[in-house]
Amino acid sequence: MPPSRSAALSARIAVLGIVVQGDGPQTLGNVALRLAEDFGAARFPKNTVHQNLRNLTRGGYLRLVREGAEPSYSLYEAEDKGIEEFMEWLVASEPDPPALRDALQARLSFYTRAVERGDIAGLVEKLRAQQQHCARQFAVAHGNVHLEQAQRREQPGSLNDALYLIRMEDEAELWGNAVERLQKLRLRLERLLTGERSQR
Amino acid sequence: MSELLAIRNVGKSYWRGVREVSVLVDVSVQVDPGQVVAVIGSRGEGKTTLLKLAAGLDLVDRGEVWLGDRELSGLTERARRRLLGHEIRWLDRREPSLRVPIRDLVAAPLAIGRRRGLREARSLALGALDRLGIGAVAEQRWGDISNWERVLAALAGAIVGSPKLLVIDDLLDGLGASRTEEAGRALRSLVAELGFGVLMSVSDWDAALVADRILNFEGGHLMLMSDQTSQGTSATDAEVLPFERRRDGSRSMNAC
Repeated sequence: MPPSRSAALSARIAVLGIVVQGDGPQTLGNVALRLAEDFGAARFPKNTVHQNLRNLTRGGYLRLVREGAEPSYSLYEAEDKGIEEFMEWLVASEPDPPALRDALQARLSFYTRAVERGDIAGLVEKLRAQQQHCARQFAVAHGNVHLEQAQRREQPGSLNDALYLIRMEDEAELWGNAVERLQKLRLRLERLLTGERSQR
Repeated sequence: MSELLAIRNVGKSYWRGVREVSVLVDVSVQVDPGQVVAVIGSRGEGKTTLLKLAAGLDLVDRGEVWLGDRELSGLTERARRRLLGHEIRWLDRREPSLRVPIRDLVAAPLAIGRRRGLREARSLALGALDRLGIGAVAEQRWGDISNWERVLAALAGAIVGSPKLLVIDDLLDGLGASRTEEAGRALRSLVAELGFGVLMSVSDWDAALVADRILNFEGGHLMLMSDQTSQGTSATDAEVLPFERRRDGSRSMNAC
């Protein structure tokens, strides 16, 4: 079996892509802003832009065009190697099937070996909280879909606008499906607890 | 904006043998004119029960269902039936009991008890079918047309009857991404033009995205998932969160 490759977006490729697509050289601030705007839901650590700009420059994927008085004012531009790497990633097909590294699945797997009733009750509460977080993210994505759809009804948008709407619809569905999965899993575990109690 | 449909603290139970099963527990939903409200949930969770109560096809055990200034349980069965023909339109994809051509199926609510001649009703039905691009199926029967044509034929019914409220049961589900999107666009366009309110049940998240407000079923309760209406009303057990800004200052309401 070939080595598994995660379908997840890495901070490295996101930072590289933002610099490659940038209109001219990019500062750390520019990159961080677009990372937050376009990939906010990925919740990359705050220092990820700085680290990746540095590592990508060391690796010859980016070049430092001008060193700023402070690191955040330094300007970066993509090297040919960086452009090539990003374009390859953009058109590459996802692993089929993608590597499944789901924390919930892993927890269930560990619990399967040695579980206490309290563990399940705790997991139920964690799932409830996660479901609420996902529901909030769904509402944000649905809000963007709603606004875009309303704007498209007023006037047809550009290809970029149409793609943005598709992306937002996809994101909303991802969150919606996450809510549904967490809800189903929680209800199953709750039934398991109730069933156990009734047997005692 | 005035409330078109107000479902307030409604409860509904059924008996399975000697066991009483609560399907709806303290459920509240509001639909205003020009709003699309979607209720999402798995099969058997009570979506259709809720829709039947909204349409006056069934009565609540507890709580109230108001259509404008009329509380449905206070009306006679005949009065509720009249509402269903005139002010409320029920749309689904189930095979209708009337075995007539699609044109007459669309025209029927208009012709029956509305003092419109059959000829006029048929003409309006044909116009509606043409507008939705399925004029060619007017003479065919329900069993002879495709699933997608049934969706459009159902929507044609919304045009001819000029109802105030559409109650849509699983009409947009399982159509595939592009058809769901197309049906959603057609529905929104009709809502914008004719101003009716919509309460619809869906099983798919992509079908729900067309709505202004989305509620999720769980154990007979309804949770507010997202509210993009201007008033941002809350459901029974909703937690309303602050606005969050995204892209070009656009905003959406965070709710759970």
